[in-house]
Amino acid sequence: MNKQTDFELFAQGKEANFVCKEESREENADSNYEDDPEEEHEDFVAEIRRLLNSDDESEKSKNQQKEAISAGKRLELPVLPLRKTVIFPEAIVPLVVGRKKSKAAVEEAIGTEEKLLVGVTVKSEEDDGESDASTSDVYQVGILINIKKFLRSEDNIQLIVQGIERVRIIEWVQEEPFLKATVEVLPLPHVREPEQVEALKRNINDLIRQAFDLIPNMPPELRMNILSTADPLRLSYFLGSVLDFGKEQEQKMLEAETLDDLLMIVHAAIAREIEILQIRMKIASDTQSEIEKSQREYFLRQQLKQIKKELGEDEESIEKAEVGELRKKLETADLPEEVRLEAERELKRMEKLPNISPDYHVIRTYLEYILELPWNKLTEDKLDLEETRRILDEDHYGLEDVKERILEFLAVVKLRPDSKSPILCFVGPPGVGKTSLGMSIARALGRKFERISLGGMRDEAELRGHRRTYVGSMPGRIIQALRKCGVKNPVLILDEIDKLGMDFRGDPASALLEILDPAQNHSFRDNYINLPFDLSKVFFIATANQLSPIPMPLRDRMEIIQLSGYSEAEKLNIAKKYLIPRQIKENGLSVEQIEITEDAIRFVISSYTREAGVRQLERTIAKLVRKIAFRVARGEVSEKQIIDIQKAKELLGSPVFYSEEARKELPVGVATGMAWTEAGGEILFVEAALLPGGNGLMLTGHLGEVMKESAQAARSYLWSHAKDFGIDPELIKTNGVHLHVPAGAIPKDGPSAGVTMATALASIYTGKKVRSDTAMTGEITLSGQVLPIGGVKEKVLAAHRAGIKRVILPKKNESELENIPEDVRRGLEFVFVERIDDVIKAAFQENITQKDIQQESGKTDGVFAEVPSEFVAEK
Amino acid sequence: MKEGNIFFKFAVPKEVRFAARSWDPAADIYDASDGWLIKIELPGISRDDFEISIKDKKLYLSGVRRDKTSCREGLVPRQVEITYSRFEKTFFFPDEIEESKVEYQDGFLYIYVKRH
Repeated sequence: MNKQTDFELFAQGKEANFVCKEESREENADSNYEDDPEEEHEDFVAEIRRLLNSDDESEKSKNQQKEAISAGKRLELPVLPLRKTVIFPEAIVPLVVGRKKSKAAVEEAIGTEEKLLVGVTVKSEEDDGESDASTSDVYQVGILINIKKFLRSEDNIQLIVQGIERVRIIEWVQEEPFLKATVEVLPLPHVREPEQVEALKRNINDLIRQAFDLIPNMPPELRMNILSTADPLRLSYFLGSVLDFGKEQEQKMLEAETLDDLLMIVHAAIAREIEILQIRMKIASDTQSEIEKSQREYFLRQQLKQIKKELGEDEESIEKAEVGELRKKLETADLPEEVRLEAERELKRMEKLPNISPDYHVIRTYLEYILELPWNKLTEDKLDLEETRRILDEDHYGLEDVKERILEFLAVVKLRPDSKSPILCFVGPPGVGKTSLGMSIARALGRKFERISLGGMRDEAELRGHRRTYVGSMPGRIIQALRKCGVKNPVLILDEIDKLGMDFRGDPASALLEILDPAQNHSFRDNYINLPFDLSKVFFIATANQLSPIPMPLRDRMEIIQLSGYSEAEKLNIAKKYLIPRQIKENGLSVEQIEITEDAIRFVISSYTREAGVRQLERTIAKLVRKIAFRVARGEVSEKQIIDIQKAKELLGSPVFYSEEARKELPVGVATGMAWTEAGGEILFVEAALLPGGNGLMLTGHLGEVMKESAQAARSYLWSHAKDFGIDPELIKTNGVHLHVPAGAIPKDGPSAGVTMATALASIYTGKKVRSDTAMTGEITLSGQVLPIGGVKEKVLAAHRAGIKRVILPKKNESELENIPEDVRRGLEFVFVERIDDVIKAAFQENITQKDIQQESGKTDGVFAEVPSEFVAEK
Repeated sequence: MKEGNIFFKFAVPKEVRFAARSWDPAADIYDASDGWLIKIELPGISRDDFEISIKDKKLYLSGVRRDKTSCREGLVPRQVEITYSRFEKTFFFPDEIEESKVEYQDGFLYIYVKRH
């Protein structure tokens, strides 16, 4: 340790080893100045040099402390009140000094060799402007500071100072012209409990690390600086100067006597800072994510808009394009003036609406509909009568009057092109070709064809449309059909007009009244379109199975054309010409592979079908052909298959129908009648039986009122004219009579069985048999008249089919024989009658009461004479 | 940077004050055959104002640079940038050191240190 002592002595300049002499330094200084002699400033330079070299030490320099500054040392120094900050040891702080007293204090300090002064923080919160702080305003503990840089400017002094030591003010020395005090250097804060210091130190380190994560833009140098500071004291003072803990906290830190206390304050302050930071971060991130979400959405929407724009699909341009397209269509469309005005008005409305508005789409659909309707579009009619005839014949066999009516219409159109189209109504049993006739008419005329099925329709709006105010409204079926076919003069089939429904919702038949009235339908107003549309060019064809369900006013508007059932001969022809070739083709065979003989067809017609039309016949033929096709496909047969009756039976199984056939002999009390059914005609038998001891008339067989009444009329007539027929009135009086019509499950009504029942009664009362080859029909009156009846053709065909040879018909129906095919007429003997007497005469095998009858009726012999000779079949 | 070191620093014999740390003059150290040369940038320091002591492998240098200019009557400071401050430096050596010589020339302080 000798060495140390030596050095200390030497350091105090008492050792010869120290070569740096006062003289040498001064010599150097002298030579420096002499190197740069300036003649004119000689005096000035000399003066300054004199000042520098002057030995007389001023008051200031005398006061300077030679010894090291250490705890407990007292110094007398100028005091600088600090307004806003607390300066910690080692901290380098810029200051601007503006107040008079402070400036004076700084001036004093800068004039000393060591440039020291004391900074003390002013207690008061508010910055009270220009007034200088007094001794009572400041804390007792301050800091010894060294001025590192000093720069005087106009109004103030800018300083950079560094804190050195904590000091306590012991005594104020002066207040004017600047504050000056005696201060005592305070010892460094000591460690009271090392463990506590250690714990606090670690906690603070953790907190600092946490804080780093929360401060996003922390300069890395600062981070390094903090982390590398191992000394908790220095770290605390450093944190105190870089972080803003508040003046009071910082003053407390400065005043802390122990490291424990200091660290406690720092810990609490940092923890609080971190909490604030965390809250700030949370607020920031919350608002950030909120903003980000909405910004992202906005951004995506903008992108979408841009993409759509690029594709020409953005809403605005779509809207514009739609309006533009509609306008273009409107300009080019051939529209009546009224329609054009309305459409333009709607288009203008649509332009003003945004396309999200529901009305926009309603109007758009409406306009599109209007523009698609064939307001002025027509197809040219083919006016070649011969060609039309050929087409009609090609499609349908027979139906002469229909074909004639079509040709008549065409002839009229040819002469007067603006004539109104007719409104026809085909009435006939199913399967006779009403609908297909409509199609065929369209084809023959060269018109478009459209079909509306009215079956089951109950709502008037179906025909006439819904008003546009309703959601999902649309035009009626008529307008829809016209739009579909695209012309205003199509053939429009109103199918099953007799099956229109009617309920509280409305009556479609009434709507049809307007549509089908040629006087009104040139300005038909659909509820949806709400503009008059000309239907007068439409060729309406209604079809119905029965006339009776069609309301009178509607029936009145149409030209009724009856399509009666086909006769066997007609069916045979239809089968040969249409059905068999079609089925052969549909089943993939050729005429070389299959042939059905005429007999077989007849057999099929009579034994497997019972209908007025030919649907069942076609199905049955299809079945035959199919079975052959099956065999051909399996390779079982190679040669041409000829189907005769035997083969047909084999393929179809046993016959399905046994039609009522004329019986060889009828018992007493039975007569053959003829009836009309929807499936054509049939023969039926009326049976009568005496009920001895009974009275009155018993009627069975599911008879309707009309039929019952005509049965009573027949009995009454016979009773009243009993003598004329050789009947004992007592027999009628004392015996009841029972009339029965077999096939009791089938309801029967109508007056046309009157003559048959009269004949049956006459037979039972007289005990004579009725001719079995004779069938009859006709309504009777109580006075004995025979009135005409309907369905003559069907009835006659049925009688012919059943093998009847003679037919008794009312005289008034004679003219209808024309409708009956030639071959049928030839096979039958017709008897036309005016009175019951004539019927009785013709019906019985023997001329039982011929004499009486002759007398009574006053007629000459031979009812047969009345039968036109051409109607008498030649066998 | 072990946390334990902190206390060791506080425990050095001579109390290291903040006052001494506020200025750190730059120093170069050269290895020589039998010792070291320390060269410290210390212009304007007077002989009375610094102190050197040696203990085992350490050399302490402490002192103060004073401003002799500003305390002259008739010269008023306008700008002061030169640091006038207390300073202290400690130098560590691999071996024990002894006996030396101190020279001052052209603003540099030269300290010769001999290996023990």
